[in-house]
Amino acid sequence: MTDSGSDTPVSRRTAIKVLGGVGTTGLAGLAGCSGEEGTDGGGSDGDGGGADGASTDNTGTTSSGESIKAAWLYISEPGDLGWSWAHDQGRKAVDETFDWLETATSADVTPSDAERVLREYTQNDYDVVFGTTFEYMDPMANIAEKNPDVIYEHCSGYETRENMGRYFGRMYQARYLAGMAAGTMTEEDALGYVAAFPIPEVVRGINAFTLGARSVNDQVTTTVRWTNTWYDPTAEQEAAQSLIDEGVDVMAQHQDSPSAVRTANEAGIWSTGYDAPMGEFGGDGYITSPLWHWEVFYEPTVTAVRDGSWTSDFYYEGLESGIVDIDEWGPEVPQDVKDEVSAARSDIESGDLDVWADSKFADESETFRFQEMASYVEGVEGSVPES
Amino acid sequence: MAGFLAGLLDATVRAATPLLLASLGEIVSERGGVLNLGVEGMMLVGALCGFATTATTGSPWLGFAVGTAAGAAMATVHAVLCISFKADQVISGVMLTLLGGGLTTYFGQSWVSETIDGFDAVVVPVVGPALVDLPVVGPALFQNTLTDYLALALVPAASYVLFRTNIGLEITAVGDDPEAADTMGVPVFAVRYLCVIVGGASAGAAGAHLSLAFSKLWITGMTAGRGWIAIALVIFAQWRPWRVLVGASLFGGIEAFILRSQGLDLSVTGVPFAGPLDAAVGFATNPQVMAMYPYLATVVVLVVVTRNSLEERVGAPAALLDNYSRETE
Repeated sequence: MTDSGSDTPVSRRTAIKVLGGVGTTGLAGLAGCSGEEGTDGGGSDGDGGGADGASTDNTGTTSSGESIKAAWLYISEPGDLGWSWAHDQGRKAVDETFDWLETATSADVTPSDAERVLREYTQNDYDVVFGTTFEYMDPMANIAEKNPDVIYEHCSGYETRENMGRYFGRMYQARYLAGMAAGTMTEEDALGYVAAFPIPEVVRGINAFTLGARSVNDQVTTTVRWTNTWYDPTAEQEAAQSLIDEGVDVMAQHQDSPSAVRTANEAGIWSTGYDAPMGEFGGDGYITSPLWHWEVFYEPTVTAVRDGSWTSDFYYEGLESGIVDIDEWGPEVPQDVKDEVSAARSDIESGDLDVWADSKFADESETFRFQEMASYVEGVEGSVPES
Repeated sequence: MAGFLAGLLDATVRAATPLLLASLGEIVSERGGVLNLGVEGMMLVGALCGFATTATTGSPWLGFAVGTAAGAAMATVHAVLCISFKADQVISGVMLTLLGGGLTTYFGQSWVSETIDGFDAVVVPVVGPALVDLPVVGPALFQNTLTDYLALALVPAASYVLFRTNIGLEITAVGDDPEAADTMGVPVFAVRYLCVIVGGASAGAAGAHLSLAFSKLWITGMTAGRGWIAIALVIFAQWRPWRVLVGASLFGGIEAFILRSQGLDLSVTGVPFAGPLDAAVGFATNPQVMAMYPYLATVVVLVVVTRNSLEERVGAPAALLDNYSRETE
């Protein structure tokens, strides 16, 4: 363990987790010697005798049916109420649900450092490692090729390997629903959207939001401000303020902090958030937030890793699975808006409503919409900047 | 267009204040001969302590005071390490930035979802009500938070203290030639302690301003590199308070323009070479290119500065980074 604690960006929390893991293993070993007292959760599968075998085994030749170790890599601290926060909520959920699962996290992992952190987890006998940022894709593919016995899962990318799957959710469906509410509630027919980087994922969200708004109000336009940062609360706030100065009366955002929602509240306009429930920042003007429930993917995945049934594929589900969702409605959202959105939600879940059906992207392939969407639908002001 | 300019100016003032507060403190610290690279960490600690205090007590002023004191407390560590124990100033400063980031991430978790009332923008009394309606400059000049005005007031104050008072001259002496100053009876260690602690207090105040007046929320790592920009700004301003005001406005203005220019149509038509000109304007106003301008400006100033052989005219403290020690005499 001496190699993992020093001068690395592995966070204190990871260090504590890892040390805790060592402690637990040690304790379990001692308990095994004294013959009583299952200190770990091995009893869950009714196989108490086997529990000691797994937990005392420091070399980690974990066989199926025993406890497993899973690690998560985050681009930022999960305390941001943004993207990493949402993934960490999913991790916490599976950590609590399965007592045979041991989890660890590394926050603030820069893409250039990802390969080293991945290698560290690999060498420490983790069974599955989740990389939650697009930029981890290439380092993860490299490590996966060299370590066929470890399973890797990459979020939001397009590379897969025998032992490396990929996963994402149809967030655009939730964006569409938020857009419907926004399009109904705007009085100025002017929506503002604070956005991070002009990449397909973000452009897709802007388009879906606008399509949702235009589906109920064809006068509506969306104005986008690019901050060119995932996370800078001050810049996000200023971008929101500049939109407010231009007269938008509903704010949407694709950023990692609730800053834009807070600013909208201060200006007395409506707002929709992202990633986390942001009602307390939006005040009375809060409408809803498109949300992630990553545990919907993490639960079956760690289970499959444990029982050996895991295979490499692309997980890409929508509202019907629960991996994407919208937050509870804000206090002032009228009932008819709730009803209308709820009806559309049912139609999306049943497959009767396709978000892209009447748009310029209707005839494009799923791959195009996932990886190459780089222009706005009708109703979004201006054009996507070249990045 | 008037509306655009008014918004731009207003945003410039907001973006400039945290830079101004942090840079003024860094000027004092560096003029005393101690480089403080811990500004970013001290801002974060100031932001969290200020926010937590205000969220608990409801008083933004108490929060601002606690945030300032927290910055000063961290700077005291820097002072003890560098002045008393002669530690490397760069290493100590970077260590404090990392420490501040780590501490605030750990202790800040439970405050992330809290909200506060904080400082609201107020209209200047007496002349304000009449002048705030002036086109373009009205809101930017006459309707801001009290901490914005405090930062502005500190510019002439810092300039006066540094250049027109005895203690100011002692600070310069200590930063330029501590040995000579010591010979003349200037308490070198006490003056350096004072400079570093004042610098840290300003960084703490800058952080508290961010969480109490600007964003009114606490978010992990919310300073997002502004502490480092403040340090670059000191070089840009050549260690002079009034030039920091110019630099902070310029850097803040660029930050504001990057976001607000996206609503403008900047294309050129109807002139010779409209095509290439259009491409050039498009490149120059690309948000990602514009984000480099503050750093490019700092590089340009550095180049100009190094061409100037008279360091006195530049303002760089000659003994910056030199830890003074009597024993070596």
